[in-house]
Amino acid sequence: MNQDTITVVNPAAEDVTEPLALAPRIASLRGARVALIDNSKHNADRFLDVIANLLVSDHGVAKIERYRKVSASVPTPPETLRRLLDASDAAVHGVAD
Amino acid sequence: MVTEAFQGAAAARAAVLGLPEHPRVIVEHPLASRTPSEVEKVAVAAVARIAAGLSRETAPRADRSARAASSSTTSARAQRRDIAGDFVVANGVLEELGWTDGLPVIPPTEALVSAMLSGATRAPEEVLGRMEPLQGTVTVEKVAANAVMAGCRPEYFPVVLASVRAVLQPAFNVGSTACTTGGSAPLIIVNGPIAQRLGISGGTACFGGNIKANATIGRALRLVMRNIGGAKPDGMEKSTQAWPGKIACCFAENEARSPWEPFHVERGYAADTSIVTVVATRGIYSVTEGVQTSGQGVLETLVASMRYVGSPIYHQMHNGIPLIVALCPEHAEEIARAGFDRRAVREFIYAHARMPVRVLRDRGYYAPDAWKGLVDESDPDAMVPIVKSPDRIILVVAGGDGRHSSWMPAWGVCQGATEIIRDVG
Repeated sequence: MNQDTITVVNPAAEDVTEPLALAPRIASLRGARVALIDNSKHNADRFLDVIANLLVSDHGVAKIERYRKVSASVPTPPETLRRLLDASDAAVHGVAD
Repeated sequence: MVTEAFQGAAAARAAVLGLPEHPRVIVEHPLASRTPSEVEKVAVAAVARIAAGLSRETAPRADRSARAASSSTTSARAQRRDIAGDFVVANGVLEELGWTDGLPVIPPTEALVSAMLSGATRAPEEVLGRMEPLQGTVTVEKVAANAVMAGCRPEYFPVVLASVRAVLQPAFNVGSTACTTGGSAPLIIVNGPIAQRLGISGGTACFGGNIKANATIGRALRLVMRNIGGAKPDGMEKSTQAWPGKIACCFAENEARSPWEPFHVERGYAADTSIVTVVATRGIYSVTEGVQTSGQGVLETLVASMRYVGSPIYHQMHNGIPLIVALCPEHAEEIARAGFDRRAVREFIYAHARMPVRVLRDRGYYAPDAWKGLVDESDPDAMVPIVKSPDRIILVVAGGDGRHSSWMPAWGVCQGATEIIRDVG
């Protein structure tokens, strides 16, 4: 190291995440089961009520599974995700206020 | 489903989960403050895009992968980076890299990081955990680099490590507390003989900076959360306003001037053990009582200040989150003289820091049924306590001369976390 160079130790995360393949989109919503995860923020339930009704009436969705998070700040528990995965063909969740 | 203001956070989170191309439907922000008909309009406008995101073939590779997202660092040791220039130039480069909190830092040179590591007995490559929200791998060496930048002396390093280990406990919920709009900041309370040995102050102006150990230990934890956890204001960190505790907040209990046994002894630790207790807090709420001297009168003023409609702790208390109460030595002395021990103080606060359902309903962070099993919400006069039980109150004595105490509510789901300070080098 000469006088004009400072060598620093990287203080930040250096993790590299390997991308996953997305699950294939379902061919059609007609007859499908769709899970909706409510992040529990104010108006999320109202918003998803409309989405649920329209997915059924306009897009032919057969069944809606709803889950409301305990708090917007905590992830959906893995066991709940597994249950939703078994009970549905597609899922929608939210990051919003 | 993402509101506009959360696009950056959603993208960052999707990337760390290994799903950078996860389809997202962006809608107008905010939803929470809109009228029912406005919310319906936004939903009607979004539904076709939601349907398209679910049913159209958007994935370039259509094979459903069963493997979990894997993440690896290239090496257990941190990378080195050469910066051409002096201290001032290096500071500018570190700032541009996004590694500072905006204040000047000590560049973490190998020699300084090595000296920091000598302050504790842990190996540099040891992994303490992964820190949310971006799940960065927390190595002892990277914590040391951040402690150098914060200005810590090597002998502070075991306290920094204990604070980081506390924040990594699942009960702390660092991912949510670092990102929430609620703007919570980690507050570190140090107990035990190490505080006096290192000059971690619990006396005059102990919350207010100008004390090297307090300022630099608190800042080191924040830099770790920022640089390794990845909570930065241009990405995952979404504090509406935050508060200056997000720069640094660390103090010791003023054990020498407490009329009671120290907090860590109350919690069952030996008097000669040193601990840190870290809680994500919403802010410091000051309470002045300069007229009442009866002890009872001081407590009455304290609990009156806690009947605070805009403090969401009443709407979050069902999560079992703590409340820190920091009594100044003069108030503590008067309260003790009036016959209150620690338990009696906590029980008094629990009994009197309460507000009726009718005041709290439909305000703040009210959510129907949140108090289920704790408070009868059908009774508008039912009283909601500030915490779930008296043991959720963290009572400490802090500060110097004068008649000003304070309380700090925990945020959201942060249970607080305690770690013994080990590894002293």
